[in-house]
Amino acid sequence: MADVPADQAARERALDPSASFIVQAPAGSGKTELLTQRYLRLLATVRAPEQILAITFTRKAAAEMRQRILQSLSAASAPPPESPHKRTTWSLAQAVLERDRELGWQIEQQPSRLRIQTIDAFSASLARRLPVMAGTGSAVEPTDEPWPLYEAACHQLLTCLGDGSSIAHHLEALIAHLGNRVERLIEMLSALLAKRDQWLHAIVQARRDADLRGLLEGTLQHVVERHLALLRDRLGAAQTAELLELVRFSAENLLANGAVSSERRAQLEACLAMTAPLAASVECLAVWRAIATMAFNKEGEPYSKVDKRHGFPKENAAMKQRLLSVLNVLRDDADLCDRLLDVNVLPDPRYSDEQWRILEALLEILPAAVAELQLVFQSRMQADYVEIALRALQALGPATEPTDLALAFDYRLQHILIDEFQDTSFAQHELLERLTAGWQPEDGRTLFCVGDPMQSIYRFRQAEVGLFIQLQQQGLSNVPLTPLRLEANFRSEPAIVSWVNSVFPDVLPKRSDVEQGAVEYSPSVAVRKREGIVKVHPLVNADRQIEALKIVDIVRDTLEQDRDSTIAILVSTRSRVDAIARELTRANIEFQAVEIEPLYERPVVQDLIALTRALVHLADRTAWLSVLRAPWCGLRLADLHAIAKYPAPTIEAALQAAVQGQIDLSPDGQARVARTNAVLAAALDERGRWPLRTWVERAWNALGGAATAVRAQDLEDAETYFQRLEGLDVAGDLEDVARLEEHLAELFARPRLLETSNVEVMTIHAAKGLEFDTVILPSLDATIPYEDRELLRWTRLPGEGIVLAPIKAEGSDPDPIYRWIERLERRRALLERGRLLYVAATRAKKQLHLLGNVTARQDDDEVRLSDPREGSMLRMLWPAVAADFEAVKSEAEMPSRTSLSPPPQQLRRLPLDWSQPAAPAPLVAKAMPLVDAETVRPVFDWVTQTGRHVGTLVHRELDRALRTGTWPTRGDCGRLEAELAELGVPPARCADAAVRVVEALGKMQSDERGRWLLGLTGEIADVESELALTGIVQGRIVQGVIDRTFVDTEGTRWIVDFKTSTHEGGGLEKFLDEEVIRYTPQLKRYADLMRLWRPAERIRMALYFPLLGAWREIN
Amino acid sequence: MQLYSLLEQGVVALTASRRLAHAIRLGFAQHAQARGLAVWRTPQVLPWSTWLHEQRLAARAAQQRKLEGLLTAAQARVLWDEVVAKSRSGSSLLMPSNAARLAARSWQLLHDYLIPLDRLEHIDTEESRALLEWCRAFERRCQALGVIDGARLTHWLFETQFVPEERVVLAGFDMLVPAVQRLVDRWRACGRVADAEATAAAEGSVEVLGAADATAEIELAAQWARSQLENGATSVGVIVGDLQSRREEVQRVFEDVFAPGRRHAQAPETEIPVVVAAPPPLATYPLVDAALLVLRLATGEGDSKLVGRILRSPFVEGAIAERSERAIADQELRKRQRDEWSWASLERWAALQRCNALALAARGVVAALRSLPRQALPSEWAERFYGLLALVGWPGERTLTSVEHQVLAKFQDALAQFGSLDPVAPRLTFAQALRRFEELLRDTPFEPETTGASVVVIDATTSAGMQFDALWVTGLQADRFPAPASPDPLIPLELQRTAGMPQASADGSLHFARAQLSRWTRSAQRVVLSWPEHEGDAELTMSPLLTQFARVEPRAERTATLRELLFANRPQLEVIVDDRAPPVTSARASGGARILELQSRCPFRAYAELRLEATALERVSIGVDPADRGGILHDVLHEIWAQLQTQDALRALSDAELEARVRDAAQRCAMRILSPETRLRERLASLEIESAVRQILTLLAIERQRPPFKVRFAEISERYSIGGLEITLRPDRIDELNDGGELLIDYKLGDAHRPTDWLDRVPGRPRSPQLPLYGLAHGERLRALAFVVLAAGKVEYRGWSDGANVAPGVDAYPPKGVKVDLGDPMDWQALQHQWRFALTRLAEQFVAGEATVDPLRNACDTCHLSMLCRVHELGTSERAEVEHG
Ligand code: SF4
Repeated sequence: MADVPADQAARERALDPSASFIVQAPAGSGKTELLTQRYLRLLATVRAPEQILAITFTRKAAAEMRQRILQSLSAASAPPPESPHKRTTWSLAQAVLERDRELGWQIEQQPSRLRIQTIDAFSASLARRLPVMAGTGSAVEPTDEPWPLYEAACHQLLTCLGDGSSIAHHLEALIAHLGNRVERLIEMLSALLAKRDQWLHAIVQARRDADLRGLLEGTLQHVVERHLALLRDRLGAAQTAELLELVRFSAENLLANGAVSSERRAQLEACLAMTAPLAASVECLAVWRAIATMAFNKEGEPYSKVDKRHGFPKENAAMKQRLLSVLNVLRDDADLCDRLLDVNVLPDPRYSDEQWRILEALLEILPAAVAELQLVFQSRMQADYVEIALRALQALGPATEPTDLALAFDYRLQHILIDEFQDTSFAQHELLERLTAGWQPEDGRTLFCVGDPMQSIYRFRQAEVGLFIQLQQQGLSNVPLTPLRLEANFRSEPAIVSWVNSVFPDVLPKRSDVEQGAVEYSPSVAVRKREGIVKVHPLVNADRQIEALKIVDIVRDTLEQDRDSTIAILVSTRSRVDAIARELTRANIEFQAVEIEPLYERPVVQDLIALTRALVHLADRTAWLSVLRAPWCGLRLADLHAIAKYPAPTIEAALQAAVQGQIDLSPDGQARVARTNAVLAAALDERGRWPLRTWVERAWNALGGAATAVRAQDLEDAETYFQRLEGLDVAGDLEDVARLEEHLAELFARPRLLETSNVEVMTIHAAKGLEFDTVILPSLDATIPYEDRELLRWTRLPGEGIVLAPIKAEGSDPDPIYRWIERLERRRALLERGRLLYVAATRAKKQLHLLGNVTARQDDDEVRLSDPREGSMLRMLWPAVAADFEAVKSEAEMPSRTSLSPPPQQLRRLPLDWSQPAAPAPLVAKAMPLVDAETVRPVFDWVTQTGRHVGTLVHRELDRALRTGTWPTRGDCGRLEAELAELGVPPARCADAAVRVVEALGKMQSDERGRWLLGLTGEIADVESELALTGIVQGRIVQGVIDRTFVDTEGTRWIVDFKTSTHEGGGLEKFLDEEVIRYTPQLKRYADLMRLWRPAERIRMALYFPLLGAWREIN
Repeated sequence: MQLYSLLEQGVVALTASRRLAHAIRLGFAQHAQARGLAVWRTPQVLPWSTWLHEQRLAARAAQQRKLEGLLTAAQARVLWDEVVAKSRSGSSLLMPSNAARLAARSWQLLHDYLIPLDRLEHIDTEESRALLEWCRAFERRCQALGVIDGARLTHWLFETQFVPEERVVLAGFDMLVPAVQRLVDRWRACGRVADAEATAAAEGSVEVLGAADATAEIELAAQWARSQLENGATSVGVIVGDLQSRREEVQRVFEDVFAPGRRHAQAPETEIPVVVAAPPPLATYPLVDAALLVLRLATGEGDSKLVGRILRSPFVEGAIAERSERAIADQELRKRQRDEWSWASLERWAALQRCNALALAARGVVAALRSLPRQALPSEWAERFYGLLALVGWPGERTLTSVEHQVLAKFQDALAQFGSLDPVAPRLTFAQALRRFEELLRDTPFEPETTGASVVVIDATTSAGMQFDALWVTGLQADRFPAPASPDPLIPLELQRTAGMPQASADGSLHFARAQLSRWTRSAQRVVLSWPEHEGDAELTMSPLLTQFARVEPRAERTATLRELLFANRPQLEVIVDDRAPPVTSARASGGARILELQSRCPFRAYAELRLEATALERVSIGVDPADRGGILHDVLHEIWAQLQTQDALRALSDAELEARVRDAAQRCAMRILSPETRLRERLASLEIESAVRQILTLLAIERQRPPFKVRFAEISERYSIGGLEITLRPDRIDELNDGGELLIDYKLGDAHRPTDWLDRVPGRPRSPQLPLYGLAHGERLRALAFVVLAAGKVEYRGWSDGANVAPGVDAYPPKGVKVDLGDPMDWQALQHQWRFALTRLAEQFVAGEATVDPLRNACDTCHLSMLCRVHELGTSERAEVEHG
């Protein structure tokens, strides 16, 4: 890396702290380093580090960047490094250190001052700091499981059905439109709610317009005309005129010949009516279509021959020649062809009435659904990420009147850096526009966007690569951006770089296009010197297993050459991993599957699901039978059969019969049933006593679940499952057992923590940002699965409004607008697939292996390869690799219809004689606890409650009276009522209760026993009230508060507890006896304490009931 | 002087938290024991707030005048909620109750830092305007009620020149807020404040270590805590930052380390000497949750999930004895798709499902509900709630555990507290009252008493002032420690800064972190400071404040969890092949033609579904079940043809008359099958009727165009023997063709059905053998088979014939797409022959009990049995099929 990279100038420019840039940084170009350098450069210019905001795509990237900056700072205290490249960073960091000292930042002590975060985290911080502006009311922790919320909102929405409202009316229309499939409607509405940040704003805005339909059709028209305008520009005026003349000529001929369809006739007549130069307007759409029909055959290729069927009779050779020469020009410009062909699918900018009816319904319903969603958020105190993003926007205020963030964040935001800018969505773009809304040209604030549009692969997260291109061209509304481009590739060896350079200009489109999200190739220059390998492994008529075996070979060879090299097998869809994982395992190659094997399918998880469902629901027959069949029990079919046939309502009930010998089982089966049932019965007894996961885990352990696992990864998978279960726990139960599996759908087995292996299998998306010595790309022939139908399709073109199309009616043909958007989306998806391939290929440092399969047929003597399917990566690479396949086709096997029956399934189970290992001894609680002497609890009603509080107050007042000598009177009732109320006595009962307090104290004073107790008769000594003692009684720390204690004239120590109980009606004696029984333990404990406190004294205990005037001694 | 000596002298210790008060009492007990005492006066150790409250009471009694009352926390909560919800800026908020909490917190801060409300007036941000509005409203409400709240208490003490009688000592305040500081200053001047010396524990060892990730970190701490105890320590502290959200994880890790063998359903009950000081809300305890379920159903707005949970709850009368019946009752209600529930409907349902105890209890509830007032005060509701619970026998017949006992007691406290809302809450309806009560339960943290925990896991704030033998502090990564500044969002930043709130600025939080750190390192002899090196895939770094201490490596040895132990000691598993069930003994099997269909798709599935009756629990959904939809179409068509009998009759009907008939039949059938109970379901049913009418009329229009036919009705259900199996066949329809012979028809709801499914892509295994089977039964008379597809927007015939012209879409065999060259039958004859052969074998296999796990491609996608058949276990692959051209 000693040489100066070719793009040195761009790299230097990017450090200019006074200018804003958008930097295109291809794979391996070291953009993180560049970001770090700029960050350091900016730090040296600001007043506080908080004035710089850096946005990264992931938390990992944020952590990395922070780390790099800190490292640079700490390296800056050392002497300058040799390499000039590192020296730049060093001196930038030096400047920062100086600034830090000068302004007392202490960044190194407090790295959290560096505001480097993800966009989600940034949005969340806006809601946290500006809860009122954002309208949230507080910080919002987004849930990772928003689907139940969407569903709840949709359900709620549906309850209006039949209430006669217009929403209900529209909903019914929609339901009927979807063939009455309500569940489907809920699903689709939920899907729309999940991305409401993409449409909500646009729809709300559009609905404000009086002529909604006109507005939307206007946008559509605009889009169509824009397309035509671009087409006309590409053709040039001369060619356009030429085409018009040709089409008019052919129209005349064709119409003269008669026999054309009515649709075609209309087109042709439009051509004849066309006199002015051909405009890019919808009025001319028919003419444009006629031109396309004239030019292309059914396959979409320009005609190579034309005759009178095309309206070019041979008599007029000159015209024919003119057409052919235009067609020749077209043939060399695939892009232009596509554009011209597109006029056939360009929709008429008018909704049909039926379509409008549904669209109108949707436009009413969607905002209503969002409103319901808000209510759901409110009632469940949860929200999703989208809400937070929307709220962040709200917090920033309208573009015309931006919120002054300095008030909330202390410092004015001075610089923004954004990484991975190619994956920005419309919503995030909007956020950026609002953030920069008040910026002035020369106010020193800058924006720095870095990314690689060639690596934009997150359409499914609404990434819109067109925005990158648009910003390159136009900047933001308030911030002009200078585009820069990096070229150096520090990662891959030259062979790989040059292969990529030679192949990808054809894989990626020829020119960038904002609307279609097309990104042209931007070449790289290898910096590394050693060679490197790119190898194609052609497969013909091979199945997945053959491919997997091939991969095993490659891996083995590579590891043989270099045991430490890292290898990644990158797949585009998860479904292709099965065979590869199987063969790698079989070949004893250790590998790590990164989030790629569906958790639900792991056998250990399947067993756990069965166990969970069985415990939670006794009538879940399948689950119960599965528990008996699982390896920890392993019942044979014959025994299973006998149990299932036993006439009991549930399998659990049948098991009880079985263990009592009422079912005829094999001896082996009997023993297994006994063992398993004992555990299940114990577990069922624990229902509602543990958190759900603990409950299941305890049963699983008792069954020996982990002993049936095959590999260590299984334990990890079990743990992942348990963690999921934790999230589903409602007070130790499941909300709905039948939906358990749904909640596992999106989970994948996770590799063991920090255990690394040289070989990794992962999706290309997961590999983004990583690099490996060797990269293997299997299954390049795989195609993209169709995206689901959407209730509402829309497309937002950068800089335009929104175009909407509702889903077609169930069972009818799709309408042109919907189809056009779908097509546009599909094309975008296809273009993204090319970029995905780019990402995959550029992960490789030293070796790149490509595998794909094509089918071949025996055609007479020749073996013919069929082209790879449209949409596959192999198809994109075909021009570059076809020769490799042709070379091996003769060795291919031809297909036939055979079917081998699978090997018999083997049932694995714990041996009957196995017993669980002994666990290490537990360390249990033995330290001395503090025991409270008061433990008795009454049931709940206000009489008892009030009684308790009266007691409390009597004690309080007594204590005070004894200390101060003033006794409360009726006049104190007001105060006492207030105190009772504060204790929690309902207002209506306070007056009575206060009277009772005064009465109790009064009685004590008048009652003989009371006077004695209170010392009013002067016969007692060594008196204490509310004596709080702590002591050690039988090894336990016991504490107690004794109401009253004293020594009487005979030298006896009395322990007296006051009880303010009242009692209505008869049976007073019985009541008092019960009270004695109830309070005896408590008083005994007091006595224990007292014995320690006054060891020499004889002790007597009693309960005193002032309100009843009763006295009971306790023995 | 040391704290304990001060306590012995009767000085009152005032602590920052209840927990610290407890810890000091415990520490004092140990101290007293160490001095050889067996009994002593309990020292006075109180949380600061409790003491303040007591002082106020005393003052009030002494002054003999009516002071304002004091709001309880729960009452204040209600007032804040009300104030925010009714305000201009609060009414539109997404989470108004969270905002109310924030406001209450800001209000407290304003008081703590002696910032007068007026200061907010000059600041023009939405946040401060809202805060001002809320605080003013709160003040007004308090005034009207004649109360003050906790935040005002310190001010009140200051203003009334209060000086305590006893001497006090403060414990566990990392820092005093100005409002307290000025009180303390004054008391100190009067000689009422004692100062405890810092304990001499200082200068112990301090070590720093990095753990792999946050979970590993807790595990290391737990291991360490255990070994500290084993080596004689009596008090160990573990500080975990976000303890509240990690409570369960922390609890689990400590259990696994301290008592690994006890995570086992059959293990004896054990209490480990660890307390995780992050009490969960009372509402999350199953006992309380069950109570809430019961009450929620009493609002009359229960759904199937709620009722299902009540049916499974162990906390309801008769739960154990009636467990099977109740489980079945839940299963049945799913089958019936019943989603609207009240106690009255549950009463009827329970009786019907033979859950007698439940039915009886429900009857009591229903009666009690009748006498409920429409509106009442919270205190009255509290009693009513308890009464309803008593009626259903809550908390059930099981003996309560000690934890459950405590929860029960706490629940009663909560009811009492709810009752004390009378002064601040208006009269509420049942539903409103229940909502408030639930909120209160969510806001009430509860931790069951543990017997003598020597290890305390605690968060940083609560740990203030605690002393340990050994202390481990986790979570000290760079981006958390020092914490990023987190100013109060409502109070304007500049006010916070001038008032010196530490969390408001970076400097403040750095300062605070340093203070915390030095407190930690002085609060125990042995201190470990740790941080997680990873979070997900992100790498974390150590807090820069730790660089001064020695780094150590984590210890490698650890106690294995029971799970790991089981895995390590796993035996060689037995391997058997067991794919044959006992043969079918009675020739008459139920399941009809479905037997063969399942047997063909996957033999195990046929066995499990039909013979083991391994059903799946159904989900209750709002929409119309496809089976019901099929039922409606089927019944309507049946009825129509039963009347018409012949195509001639059909043709003779006018369009209007036909439509009237169809509509009439559709209405009746739909109502019978769907029996909608709610408005929503009624509307859906009528939509269903509309679409049924539409589809059937479309079909009948096609029928009119067909060559003449008659529909045969007699004996449509027929018995047929094949391969030792006697099957009852019920073809949807049999048409007698004009030129002799019969057409067999199966109505299909979806668009996916194709006649090619009658062929076997895997030899002997046709995907849909149903119609072929009917065909075989009809032998010579069979001229054609057809699906009639009745999908929205698509109504058509799809079938094959022997060449007879039957209907559009019914092609002569072999039609296009059938590949005779690849082995498909040559002609109609051969086709029948193949069917006979294949279906006979399938029947024989079923009878023989053949139950191999051998699915056709995609068969598993629509099967619920994967856990039972264990298809995922060995990567059993599905049968490859040659695709259709
Ligand atoms: S899941 Fe698949 S293999 Fe198992 S029974 Fe069902 S169809 Fe057969």
